[in-house]
Amino acid sequence: MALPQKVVDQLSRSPIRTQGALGQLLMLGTILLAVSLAVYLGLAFGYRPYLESEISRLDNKIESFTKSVPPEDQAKLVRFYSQIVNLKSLLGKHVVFSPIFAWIEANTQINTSFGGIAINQKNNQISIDAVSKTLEDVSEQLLVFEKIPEVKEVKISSVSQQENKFWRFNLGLVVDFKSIVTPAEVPPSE
Amino acid sequence: MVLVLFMVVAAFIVFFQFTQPEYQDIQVVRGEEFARRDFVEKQQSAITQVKKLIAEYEDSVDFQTLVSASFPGDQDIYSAIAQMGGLVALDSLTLQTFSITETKAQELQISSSDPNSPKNTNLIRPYGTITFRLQIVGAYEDVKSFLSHIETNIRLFDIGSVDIRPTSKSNLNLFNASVEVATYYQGSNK
Repeated sequence: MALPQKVVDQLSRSPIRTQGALGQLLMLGTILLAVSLAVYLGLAFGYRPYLESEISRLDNKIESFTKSVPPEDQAKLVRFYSQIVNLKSLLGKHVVFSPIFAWIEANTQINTSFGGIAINQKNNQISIDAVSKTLEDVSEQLLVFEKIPEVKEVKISSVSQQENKFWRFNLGLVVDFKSIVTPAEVPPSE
Repeated sequence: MVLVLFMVVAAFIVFFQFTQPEYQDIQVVRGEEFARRDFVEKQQSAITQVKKLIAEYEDSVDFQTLVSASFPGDQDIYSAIAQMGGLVALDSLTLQTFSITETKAQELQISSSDPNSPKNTNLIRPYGTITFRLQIVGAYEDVKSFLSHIETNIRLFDIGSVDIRPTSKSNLNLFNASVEVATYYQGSNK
């Protein structure tokens, strides 16, 4: 029995289809290989040399930075900067000393006079040699300093009566030096 | 068919054996290049600022002179003595003796909690201190005036301690004053 015409046609066409598919696979394989090779060659011989030349160019630029500002100018600038920072710090610690005299004078009892004064700003100590008319004046002078909030400690020593009946004594004060010499800030009036 | 297989296998070999390792190497090189580029950009910006500062520094001669007068770049003991001598004469005092002590340059103490503290502490040079001990004779008001002039002098002077005693001729307004004054200068390189 002869095969139907349809089957005969199909059998006669199948080798042509197989050849076409093989050709397409071959094309795909070639493309895959070509792309892989192209990517590799591009990276190895194109991009890498480019990056390396960039690195070398940037290295040269970094090298040239040291020459762009002369060392003398750098030293001058650093020195000036340092001077300003140090000066700012020292001015912050600078204590105006002389108002302490006005403070002592303002707190002197009326019948008391001061002979010698030793003021040490660094350890906040004031030592006063004083002479008062009476013993009441001595105690009043002591009280004056004790009442002042800036005075942290008052010590009296070497109390003796002189030939003229006046009383000589020594006062040792420990004070908050900065609050005495720094005028209190007045709040702005509205 | 064998050729197709060969092509595909070759493409995979090229990709996994060459392209992928090459790509990983290039990532490292790219990282280096990026780091250098970033560094160059930052440096360029810093150099532009430094050049601008140098230009401003060179234009501000008056300010430099003022800063150097308050806080000189070296000991400049001669000018400190001359200034003190001038003030002693101005206040009609007599300078009896004086001594000088120099303290080695010290680092600026910077509090990390202070928001106004300088950021580039490595640029700040240490400062030196010169301490003068003066013995002067004069009227009480003149001694006070001298102390007031000293503490507001152009060169920074800090009064550390003062000891005022009446002279042996106690009937006159004449006092012996012992004054300790410190002044500062920019130390040399670290």
